[in-house]
Order: sequence, then structure tokens, then C-alpha cells
Amino acid sequence: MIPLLKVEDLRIDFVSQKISYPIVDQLSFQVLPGEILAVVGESGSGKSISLLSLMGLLGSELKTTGGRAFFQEEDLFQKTEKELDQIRGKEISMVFQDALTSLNPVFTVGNQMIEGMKIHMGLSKQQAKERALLLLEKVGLPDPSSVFKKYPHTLSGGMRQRVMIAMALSCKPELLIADEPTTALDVTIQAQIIQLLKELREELNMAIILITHDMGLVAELADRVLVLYAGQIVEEAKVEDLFAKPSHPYTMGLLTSIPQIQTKIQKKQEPLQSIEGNVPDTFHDIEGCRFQNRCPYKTSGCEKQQQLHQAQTNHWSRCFRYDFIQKEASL
Amino acid sequence: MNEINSPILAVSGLKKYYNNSSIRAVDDVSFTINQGETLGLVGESGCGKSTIAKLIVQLEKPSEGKILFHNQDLSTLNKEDKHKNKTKIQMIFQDPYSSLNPRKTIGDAIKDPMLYHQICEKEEVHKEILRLLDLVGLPANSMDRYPKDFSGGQRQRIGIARALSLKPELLICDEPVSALDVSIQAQILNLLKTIQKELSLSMLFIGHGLSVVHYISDRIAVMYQGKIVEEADSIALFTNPGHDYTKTLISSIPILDPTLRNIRKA
Ligand SMILES: Nc1ncnc2c1ncn2[C@@H]1O[C@H](COP(=O)(O)OP(=O)(O)OP(=O)(O)O)[C@@H](O)[C@H]1O
Ligand SMILES: Nc1ncnc2c1ncn2[C@@H]1O[C@H](COP(=O)(O)OP(=O)(O)O)[C@@H](O)[C@H]1O
Ligand code: SF4
Ligand SMILES: [Mg+2]
Ligand SMILES: [Mg+2]
Repeated sequence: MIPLLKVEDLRIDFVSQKISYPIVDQLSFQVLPGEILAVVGESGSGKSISLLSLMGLLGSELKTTGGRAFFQEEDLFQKTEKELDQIRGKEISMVFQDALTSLNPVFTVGNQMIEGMKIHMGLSKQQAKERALLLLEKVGLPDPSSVFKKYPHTLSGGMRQRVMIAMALSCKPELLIADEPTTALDVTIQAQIIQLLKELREELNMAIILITHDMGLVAELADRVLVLYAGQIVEEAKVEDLFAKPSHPYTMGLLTSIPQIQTKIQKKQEPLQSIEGNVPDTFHDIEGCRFQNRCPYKTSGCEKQQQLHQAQTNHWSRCFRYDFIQKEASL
Repeated sequence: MNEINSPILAVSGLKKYYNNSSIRAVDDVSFTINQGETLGLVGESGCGKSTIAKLIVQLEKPSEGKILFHNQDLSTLNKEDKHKNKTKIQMIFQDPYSSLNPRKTIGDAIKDPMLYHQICEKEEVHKEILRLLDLVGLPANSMDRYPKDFSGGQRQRIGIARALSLKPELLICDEPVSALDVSIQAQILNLLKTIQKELSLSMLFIGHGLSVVHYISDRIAVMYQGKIVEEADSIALFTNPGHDYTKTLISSIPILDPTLRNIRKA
């Protein structure tokens, strides 16, 4: 199958007059039509900017300095701003992490939704309005017609997030990029959104890149997972394999940090497992494995730069001890 | 937890209406928190959780109802007692990014309220801040740095240090870990739990993540449309949920096993 999106060796640098250094490097992945790819990793690991870079939306001090990206076999980095605009409105749409700042404060929800559908789908005003109301209902907003008339700042955080999702879906995109789409939502609404995204994938064969740090969401929704740490992919696997046989210590830490609900009358598990320490601010001056200052499995050999090792078919880990880690994880 | 179980906080018939009573954010809510106990509060987005928090720390005035702290009605205290009581109930906010003043060093952010409320002598302040930073796991040199130098998890530690600096008896936490990564969440939850035991604090813990609230709480209250619809021991709530909304909540928790997702939906 021809990939819908193909990214090769992407590199993004922070560039200012005084200094420049890499923020993301050696990032390669692809997304097939209809596939749901989850991108997980600690905040600051480069999840958001990697996807913003593909959309040509990096801020002024960030530059895409290497690599290529193809959407439906066309080179995204060769497109003009106008061509990109066309793609961004229709084929690829994005739900941004910060739902308040990405909605326009001077237009009502309805006006913002209708505008895109008129331009990209050629709908009449009335058709667009009907579709907007339908979508607002589908994302679980209780009173769609009143939300339709409201300005973004009068909505609660959870409502804004749902409006953003409705808007992103309005033009039936081929690829939806959703950056932390459910963080402000309670579990019942989250479950509705998960259901909706699944349905749309079935109906429209829409592919989804889901950026999140919620492993529960990943388990419910993803086909495949990329784990990022300090600007690199540290693990890539099918979702079942990632949960069953994590092969990088960071992934293992992610999975064991999640509190589990105990239903037996017994002492609750405590303390929670956690990954001690913090992600390094920058990594260009770290020699060898970028996780070594936090890794409980560090040994000789970790001071060498780590490549992606194939742990199984379609399962990659940036840790030369992947075999040992898999065994540890299954204990 | 505590054998004596005297309530430190007793809320009864609490109501908060907005817009001439057209929005009933909190609608006749009653609960108690015992000494040394953590009460979890969960519920739909917009059901009134944060409003309850604001009422307890007196950022908002109730439309009706009573909030008793150590059997004293907070709204009827005279000015002096109010000032004294203010330090005893502290709040930790959801957003570790906007709750710190970007122009103040961490040291000053902790020091100023301590001096204002005369928590300790001027000469002692420095030592006290170092003790607090150590308690929440931050290096001593954090003192002279600004919020922008810290990650989300570290900022939340700062927020906790600042809240603790006033020697509170009751801590109100409004989604203190929702904005953080799971691995950092675990660090902060462990920290809150240790500190709570060490200082015998009482806590109201508001959250979306049921497993998080379950982990930290002794009892959990479930809110729906401005009312508490169920309250139970934090294990019993999951083994034997009573209210329909609680059941919906529990069945909506994502299962951390991709091989089970299709079975469950069936
Ligand atoms: N100042 C205000 N004016 C008008 N309505 C308000 C005000 N503050 C809160 N509300 C309304 O009161 C209700 C409860 O809000 P609250 O912030 O307590 O919800 P919450 O349970 O904390 O939700 P979330 O889980 O999204 O944080 C909502 O319907 C909200 O829109
Ligand atoms: N506009 C910007 N200018 C400079 N650095 C940035 C900017 N945006 C993000 N960064 C840096 O890039 C790195 C990755 O950020 P981001 O992609 O937002 O992380 P994630 O989405 O994984 O939490 C971080 O170190 C962050 O500080
Ligand atoms: S290479 Fe070494 S330090 Fe890095 S993740 Fe593997 S074991 Fe840990
Ligand atoms: Mg991000
Ligand atoms: Mg709230």
C-alpha cells in the first residue's frame, strides 16, 4: 500500500542569532491510509513541533533543517504557502494542543465552522450550517445550536476542545493530526470522542496521527505507536507489541507509571512507580544514549550513540539491551 | 485513616448560582473531610467541582449553605480570625504554568506570602525555603531562578512548596496532575501522598483521571450537574458503584490493554 504520509530523516533545529542546536533528529515514519498512529512521549520530546514542521507551521526560531516529507507522494517541503493552505484546510487538518488560542476570538463558533466548509467543500451556507450542527452533536456537545452561536471565550475548556475536533472533521480530511485532543475532557466524553474517531476511520478511511501522553487512549485507539524521547524515536511498534513487550526502558517506565485501579480490599499499590529525574533540556551535548541519566538499566555500552535496533518484525528500539528489557518487562 | 475522625471540614447545603440563578453551578452539596483524610471529587466537565474549591478557599461567596472549618463558619469570622484561617486552607491549581508570576524568582514567590502571614521570622525564612524545596525534591539553587526555567512537573512542585510554606491543615487540589505527563504525574502523586502522611494533612482532591483519584483518595464523591450523587470508600466505589452516572464513568475508563478493546465494546 502506498503510504499516505511518509517522513524521512526529519531534523528540526532551534536557530537564533546566538546559538543553534537540534531539537528533533533522525525522525522517520509513515502513515498508511486509514491507519491510526499514536505519537507518545514526555513533554518537550518534540511531538508537537515535528507535526507542525510537516504542516509548515513552525515558529520563527525553529527551522526544518533536514529530511523530506511526502503526502500522497508529493513533497510537502517543496510546496508554496498557497498550496500548503489548500492542503491544510482540506486534506490534512489539525486539532491543536491549545484549543483556546487556536480558535478565532472575534467570530462565533458557527461562523468559523461554516467558512471552511464553504471554501473547501463548496457547500451552501445552509448545508454548511446543517453539517456544523451535526458535527457539534457528534462530539458530544449537549446543546449544539446554542454552542453554534457562542464566542469561544464563553465556553469551558472541555467544550472548546470539542469544538476544535468538530471543526477539524468538517471537511472530511484524509489525515487528521490531533495534538492531545482529550486532556481537558472527563472519561465519559473522552470515550465518546474515541468512538467518533473510530467511526470516522471506518466511514471515510481517514488516517489519524494522535499525539498524546495518555497510554489508555493509545491502548483504545492506536494501530501503531511511536515513542519519542529527547527529539528521537526510541521505540516503534504495533500497539499490541508495545504493551506486551516494551523494548526500551523509557517505554517500560511510561507503562508502569500509570496508577491501576485496585478492586480488591487490600493495601493499594504504593508508592507508584515513576521515572525519576527530568528530560534533559537539550541533548546535543549528551554523548551516547539520551536516556542514560534516568535509566535504571544503564551499563557499559550506553555511552555509545544508540541506533534503532530491530527487536522483532516491525518492532524497533533505540536501546542495545532491547532483548534484556523485553524479558524484564514480561516479569 | 485517623481513628478519631473528627471532621476538619464540614460543608452543608452549599449552593452557588450564577446569572440570576439560571446557572446552578453547585446545587445543594454536603460532605465532610476528616482529619488526615483525602476526599476525592470526580464528575463531568462543568459539573461544579472547581466552583466548590473556590467557595472553600473563599475566592467566591456561596449563594446559600455553610462551610465549617474546625466547626467554625468561615463566613462569620471577624477580620482577624479570617486572616489567621486563610493560611490554614491552601489550594494547588490545575495549571502549573499560569499560577506562578513570571517576574518573581521561586525564592520570592515562596517567601512573600510567608512574611505577609508572619509564618516565620525574617532570619529564618531562608532556611525554611531550603527545607521546603528539599521536601518537594527541588535543588537549593532553584531559589534564584524564574518559572520559565522549570518544566511542568517542577512548577507543580513549586506550587506545592508554596502551599506548604503556610503550614496549612487542609489542602485543596484542583486537578494538580492533569496537565502533566504520566511519568511526572506519578512523581507528584507520590510526593503528595508522602507529604500528606508526614504532616497529617487533610485533602480535597479534584480530578478527571479516575485511577489517579482512586490512588490518592480514601473516599470519593461523584458529582453530576451540581449535585453529589454518590459517595463511597475509594475501593468500594469501583467494586460496587451505586449511581448510574458512576457506572458510566467506570465503564468509560480506557483499558490499558489493546487486545481487550474489541471484546469490551461487544
Ligand atoms: N463566573 C461564572 N459565571 C457564569 N458561570 C460560571 C462561572 N463560573 C463557573 N460557571 C459555570 O458553572 C458550572 C460549573 O463550573 P466549574 O468550573 O465548577 O466546573 P468543573 O466541574 O470544575 O469543570 P471542569 O471539569 O471542566 O474543570 C459551569 O457550567 C460553568 O460554565
Ligand atoms: N517556538 C519555539 N521556540 C523554541 N523552542 C521551542 C519552540 N516550541 C517548542 N520548542 C522546544 O522544542 C522542544 C519540543 O517541543 P514540543 O514539540 O512542543 O514538545 P512536545 O509536544 O513533545 O511536548 C522542547 O524542548 C521545546 O522547548
Ligand atoms: S542504551 Fe543503556 S541507558 Fe540507554 S536506554 Fe538502553 S540501557 Fe538505558
Ligand atoms: Mg505538545
Ligand atoms: Mg475545573
